[in-house]
Amino acid sequence: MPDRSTAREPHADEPSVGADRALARRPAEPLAARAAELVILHEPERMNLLGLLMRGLLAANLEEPALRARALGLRASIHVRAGDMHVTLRFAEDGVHISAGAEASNARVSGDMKALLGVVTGAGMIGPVLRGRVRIGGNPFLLLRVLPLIRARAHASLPPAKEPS
Amino acid sequence: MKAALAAIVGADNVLDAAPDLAPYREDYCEADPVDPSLVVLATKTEEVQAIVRLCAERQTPITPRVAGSNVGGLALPAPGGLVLDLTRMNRIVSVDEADMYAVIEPGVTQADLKRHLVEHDIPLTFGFSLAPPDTSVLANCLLGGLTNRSLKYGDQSQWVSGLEVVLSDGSLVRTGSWALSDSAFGLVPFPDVSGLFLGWQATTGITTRMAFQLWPRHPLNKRLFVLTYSAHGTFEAVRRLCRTELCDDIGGLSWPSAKMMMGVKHPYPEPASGEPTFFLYVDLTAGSEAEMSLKERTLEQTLADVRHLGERIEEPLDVATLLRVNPALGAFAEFPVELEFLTNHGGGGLTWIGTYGPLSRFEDGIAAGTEIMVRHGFPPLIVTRPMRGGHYGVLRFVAIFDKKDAAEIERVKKLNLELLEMVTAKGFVMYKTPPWAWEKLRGRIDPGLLALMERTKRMLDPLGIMNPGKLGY
Repeated sequence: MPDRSTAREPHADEPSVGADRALARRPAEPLAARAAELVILHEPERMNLLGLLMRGLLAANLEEPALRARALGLRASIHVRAGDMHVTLRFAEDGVHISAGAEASNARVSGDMKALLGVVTGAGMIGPVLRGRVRIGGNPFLLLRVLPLIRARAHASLPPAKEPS
Repeated sequence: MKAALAAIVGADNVLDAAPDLAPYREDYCEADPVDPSLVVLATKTEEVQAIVRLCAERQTPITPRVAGSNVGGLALPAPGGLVLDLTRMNRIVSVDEADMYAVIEPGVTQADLKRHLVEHDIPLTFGFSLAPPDTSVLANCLLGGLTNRSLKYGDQSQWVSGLEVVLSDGSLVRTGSWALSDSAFGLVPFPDVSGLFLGWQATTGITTRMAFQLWPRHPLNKRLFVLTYSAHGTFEAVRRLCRTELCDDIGGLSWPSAKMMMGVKHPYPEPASGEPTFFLYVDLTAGSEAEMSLKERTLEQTLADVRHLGERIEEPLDVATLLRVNPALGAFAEFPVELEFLTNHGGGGLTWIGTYGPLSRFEDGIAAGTEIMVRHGFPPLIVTRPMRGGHYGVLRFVAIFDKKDAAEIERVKKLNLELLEMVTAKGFVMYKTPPWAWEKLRGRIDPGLLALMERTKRMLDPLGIMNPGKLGY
């Protein structure tokens, strides 16, 4: 049974695929330049670690035109909880707003830090959910649409994955 | 003086123009800038000897310097004094793979030595401080700095196996086995006089070469992060892990470090609700997968034991996972590292009260230090590490500030003074002790030690030209 949490943007449970496509057709360069600006951190000085990690993930993913289009086409809020840290991601026309705390949302995902990091680094959602390490609530289709936006991509600029020294 | 120096090193290696002198008048910390009269760049020991003789003749103060990243004003000259820039003495003289030591000059940096070992496929390593890659390895050894091998092997002065030092009359001395043998294998068995130069902040001589121990580089390495939620849980885990003798390093950073690394310049001084308060990074090395697996299991079991005490501790996270989530955390993926949030934050100022002290008192020190930092309006940026098997540890309170803001500099000075009083009262001892702190501590140090130091100093530097202003001289 889906959770009936009220969205901050009342029309936003399901994003419009059409909007995704329209945005994807926009010229990439101006949008690429704006990718980091499209992630709006509320009260950064007080933001918790989870919110800062989310900002990094979103900013990296929004450089990808298709993912950027997807994010800008969504009108919904997601509540993410890792351990006792809460953030709410609100997808709006001007970007993705991240605020600390649990606000009204269309969907929720929670778990311990390691399990959630596993999800965003590609371990998949189903296994951790079945094992009870990750819990979801609200609109599952929305979560499926959002998951690629918070999934870690391979970063070309990273040092090689060798041993620390 | 300039002409005499030019006769030793060539005119191009003597600087006296204001723009050339500017980089030498300050370091990261809040110490007042001091203008040197001249800067001279040496390339070999014989030049250093000649320069020191000249300074002795003219009674000119001389201060050696490499990167100047000690964060205590230790490489700032005496007013009107001369700075001896040793960056060009950067030869890795030898690496003895069989007996695991290297002989290096003062200008050899962390990055240089690492590159050398890797490029020559030498299966040895050393330790890296959290200072920038261009930091002098020799200087960190002489000043008793710490590295990511300090849990196993202690502070870096304990790795020294021989010194070559220019004394204040220009003469040269070799300490350790090097005094007789062609192998600088250790400081034994002759009377060890290396201590006349270790920790003395170049007030007794200028070290031109150093032999120091390297350590095996194991084929398998892992860095794991452990998020914790209380100081007691953190250091109970640290103390227990030390006694397993399985970890190569256990660094502990308070919550603001991760935030600053991820771009928050001035985190609110209190942690956000529900977030971890400490991040341990644990280095494990092994020669085989089976050994690594055993170490990981032991780590996990040790953490589980602390959880059973009611402490909340997350499961270890591999650094590679964190890197994928946020590349900004890459600063901790591989050493040496440029911690830009400390050294390149716009304001230019970096300062700390760095101490060595008993691990059993860390929770107490952290609680008191956190209260002081928050009260002064600074996020409680704290760096910790158990040293030498856990017999002691480093507890360091770090602040960044704007060097152009006089009021902030005053605030930092008050902060550091209060932190110094607190840590000293709790039994911690400040390392790389800056001149201002030495003056504050002088009245509490054993008078017998001070008298012996005074006699030693007079014997080794009767003219008082060697790095004046440090250690009260």
